[in-house]
Amino acid sequence: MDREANRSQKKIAVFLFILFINLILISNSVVLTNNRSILQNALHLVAYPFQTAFVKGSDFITGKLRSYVFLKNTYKNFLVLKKKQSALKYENYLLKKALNDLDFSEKAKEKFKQFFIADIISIDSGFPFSGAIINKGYFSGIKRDMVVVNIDNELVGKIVEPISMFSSKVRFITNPMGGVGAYIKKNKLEGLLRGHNTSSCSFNYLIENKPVEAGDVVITSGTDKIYPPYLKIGKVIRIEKKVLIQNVVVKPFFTSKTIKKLIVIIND
Amino acid sequence: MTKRQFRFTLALFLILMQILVNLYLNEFNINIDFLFLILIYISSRGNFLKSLIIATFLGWTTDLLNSHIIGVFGFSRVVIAYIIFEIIVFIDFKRLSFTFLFIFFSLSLSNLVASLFLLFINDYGLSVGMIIYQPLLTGMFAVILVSSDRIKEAINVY
Repeated sequence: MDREANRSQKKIAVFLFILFINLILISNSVVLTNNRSILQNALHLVAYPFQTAFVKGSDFITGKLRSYVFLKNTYKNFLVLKKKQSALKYENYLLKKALNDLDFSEKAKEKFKQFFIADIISIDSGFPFSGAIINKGYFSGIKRDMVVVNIDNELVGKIVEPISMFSSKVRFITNPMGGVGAYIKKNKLEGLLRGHNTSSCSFNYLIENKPVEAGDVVITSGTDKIYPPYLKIGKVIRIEKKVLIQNVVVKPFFTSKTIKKLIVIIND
Repeated sequence: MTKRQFRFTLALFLILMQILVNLYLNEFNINIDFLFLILIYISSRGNFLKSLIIATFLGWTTDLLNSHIIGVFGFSRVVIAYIIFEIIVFIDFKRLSFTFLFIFFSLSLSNLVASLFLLFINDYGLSVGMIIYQPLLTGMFAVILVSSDRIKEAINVY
């Protein structure tokens, strides 16, 4: 009987110990910007190689998988070419793809002096509008607060911690943390745009003295000292009038497009 | 192929599927937690310490894939692994509807715990996708998976 009770106590102790480790890890991540204790630093040092190994491992598996899919398609196309059917169609497909990639790079060069082109490698499945992980990390020169846009020069978000060697996190402007200094292009009505983890953001407490209409374009103001001014954000989709103030709902342009590649602008 | 090899291949397949789901989420909108199925299987085998350690690693993997704070899903998965371990003797996996409900409620509870952490830390709010849709889809996928005789035999569901 005593043995059974002892065993049960041991089980609970192990359970609580594992929970405690997880809580330490959570607190370690939460205080990223503050001074860490020695224990937190030690845990970070232990966890970091695993994190890097995991990211590299998943990149490797994904790469191999893509190579496999690519080779399979190439083999199929080889058979098609062998039969001398739709050879031109396949060639056209490859050329179009190459042209698109080139176009992406050229368009980015026209708009920004210095930039990185990064692929999205993972999106938060629970909160798809909160952020994503890209395949460029501090090894490529990625730093915190770098601005991220899509190919149409529309604001997507910014780089936040954690930044690992080969990956980094992009926090979308639709994330509720932080905000974007922005104004309505037509009447220069300025405010702070905040996200709600949905496909839209909102300006809260805008003064009602200037009229706002659905379809008005919203751009960055640069007052937050993070995002440069005049970047397109989105358009107004709904206005809720209240006494003296109005709440304006904005749909960012990037949420209505499929994003695979992003441009990280290097801060001057 | 032996049962052990088949189970290993199945686990590998589920991990690959999870990576693909996170990679192409914005294109297909299919949100299934494949790693949770591995956790259910391991926890139902009866080795307490192994269940908790694997639950921790699977949770950390989910955290890494979803770019969350490391430990959030680790914590929630360990809690649910402990609960599963304690109640496993009362669960009858032979009935598909029961399997579905069990996976739905356990994943929903686990995601709720993680969501509460994210709510307090990042002000994310509770996500219906995480608490309802993902458990529903995962439960349905598990039912489809277990309805195959070959898989049923390999994972000893009689």
